[in-house]
Amino acid sequence: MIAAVLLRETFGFRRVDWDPLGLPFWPRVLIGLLVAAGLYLIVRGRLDPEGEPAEPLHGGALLLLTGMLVYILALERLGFHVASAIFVMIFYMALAGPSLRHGLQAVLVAVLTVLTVWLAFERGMHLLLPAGELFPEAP
Amino acid sequence: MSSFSLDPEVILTALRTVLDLETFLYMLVGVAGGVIIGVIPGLGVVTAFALLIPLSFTMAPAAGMSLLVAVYVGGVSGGCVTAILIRMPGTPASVATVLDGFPMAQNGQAGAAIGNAVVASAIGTLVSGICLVLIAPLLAAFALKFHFPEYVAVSVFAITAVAALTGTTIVRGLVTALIGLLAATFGISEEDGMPRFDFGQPEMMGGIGLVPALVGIFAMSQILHDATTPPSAAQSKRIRLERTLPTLAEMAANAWNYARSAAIGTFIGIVPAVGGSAAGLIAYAQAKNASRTPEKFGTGHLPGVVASETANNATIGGALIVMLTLGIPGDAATAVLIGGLMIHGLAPGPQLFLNSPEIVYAVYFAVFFSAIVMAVLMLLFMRPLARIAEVPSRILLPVVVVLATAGVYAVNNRVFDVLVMWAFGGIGYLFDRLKYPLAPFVLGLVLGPLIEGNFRKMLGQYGSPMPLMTSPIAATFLLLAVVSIVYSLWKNRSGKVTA
Repeated sequence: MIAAVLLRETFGFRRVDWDPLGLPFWPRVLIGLLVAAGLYLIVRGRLDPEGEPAEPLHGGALLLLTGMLVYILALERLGFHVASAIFVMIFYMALAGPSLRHGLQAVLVAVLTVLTVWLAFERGMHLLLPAGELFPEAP
Repeated sequence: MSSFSLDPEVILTALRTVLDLETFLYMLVGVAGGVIIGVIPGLGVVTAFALLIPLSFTMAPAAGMSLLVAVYVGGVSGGCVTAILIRMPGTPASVATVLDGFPMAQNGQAGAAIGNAVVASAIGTLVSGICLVLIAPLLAAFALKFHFPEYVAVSVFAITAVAALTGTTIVRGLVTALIGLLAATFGISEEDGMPRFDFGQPEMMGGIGLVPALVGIFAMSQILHDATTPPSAAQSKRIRLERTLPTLAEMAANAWNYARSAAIGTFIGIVPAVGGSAAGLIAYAQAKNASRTPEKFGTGHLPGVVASETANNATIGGALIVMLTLGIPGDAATAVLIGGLMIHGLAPGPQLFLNSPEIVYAVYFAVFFSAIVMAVLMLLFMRPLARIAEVPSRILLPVVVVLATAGVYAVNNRVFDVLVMWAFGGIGYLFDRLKYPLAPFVLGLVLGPLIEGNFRKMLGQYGSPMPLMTSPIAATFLLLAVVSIVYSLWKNRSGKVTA
């Protein structure tokens, strides 16, 4: 499937006059090898089903991936500090379970985390983090 | 007098410079800063250089270069801490350390893992420093013989060796290696200057960054695993702080491992653009190959950690050999070191040895002293650092995600890189679940541009791939690659027969 998608893309590469092999040469070599290896694994799996079984994918992992994606997309809107604080609180509560005590701990961890990162990255090492649209002129 | 001769007067001058109190304090700051920044995923040695190089502006050239070398040593070494504790290599050079270091931490041997990693790092640095001093001219001459076919062959050998010796079958390893090689083709083609696999997105022009991909495929996938797999009561007790110093018995048992891995790392360091991550993975693969108990690798086996850390630090001396004698940067870090020389009005190469030999010897001594200072500092502060792994996961996991996000963003100031990290987190989790090894993917991503560029140049110059066979060096490496594949197939087959 990966090979099919990428192979299709190679037909859209620009042509270059100075190299007869061109842009798609190397990716197509790799795609060909990948297809061969994949077919080998499929055939081998049918001929010799014994092997290390795969572990099931956990639904919680997909949920967490989705949550991370929302967090990342929120970085430029809300800014690093606000988005990270919200993410830490939600993630903490999801792992610890809902309760007032855990909620207060979540807030504390979120504040300390964001403060530490701000001190280390922006104040200490003068590295820029997304300011967001809420506080675009933050120092 | 030969430009590469050992002049006692020059050596003493350089030694006095390095042992000067102010210079030594700067080296201390450099090592500490390098370790701290090396520990933080996403920042790495180049960021450490970028932040600390201004300190060297007002220093004398020899002192300034000593500081930068100290940062280099600290930065490469620091990556092992988080690689072992939370399966997140602080620098790409510590990728292979994850394979056995993290399982050791899970088995309650975090202190032993880090202690041995630190000592291995120091030994690798010291051994490569000795090589740097004694055989720099010979090694530089050998590296000059590397042309297009040789680069292709050594890269193919590296990938097949790692694919053969990690994971359950070589074909799965080759599949992940091929995916890594394909991922390396995303973005602007270095050979043609044209975009590939950009899917119409301007952000894709820059391709897939190595740091975001590594942090994603190791750290993010581990976070996904840990967040969805609550540790058992026994597991939650396993990350303990026990002894941190390696025992003499452990060091004696790994003596040959140190020597072999240091040799591999020094050699790999000499070959430009291959780097610490490849050295660590190759040394790891060779240690497993030479072991009487190869099945223990990947389960928390100390020789795996020793091999990786010895080799990745040994690349320092090797990279400095080519940088000092030829002016060729072996990696991004040595490219910055060349910049450091130029800031002081110096240029690397044979003229540096003729006109400013005290700079060269100051670099030599800085390598040795930095290795010792690094080992002392990391062993002293290992317990506080190791305590990171005892933090409850409900605190650690969200903090690590935020830290990794900040670190990855800081590389290029692009949210796109953070998205890459996220995507590779999912891919790494999938690989893990489907029992596909991650190490060959990393090697494919790192060596992809090197293989393609040299392969196409070879075809352009010679019109055929025959030089891979006709060049003795290239043919030797390709033969070793075939041996790796055959050995792996034979091992799998004999394993099934005995089972």
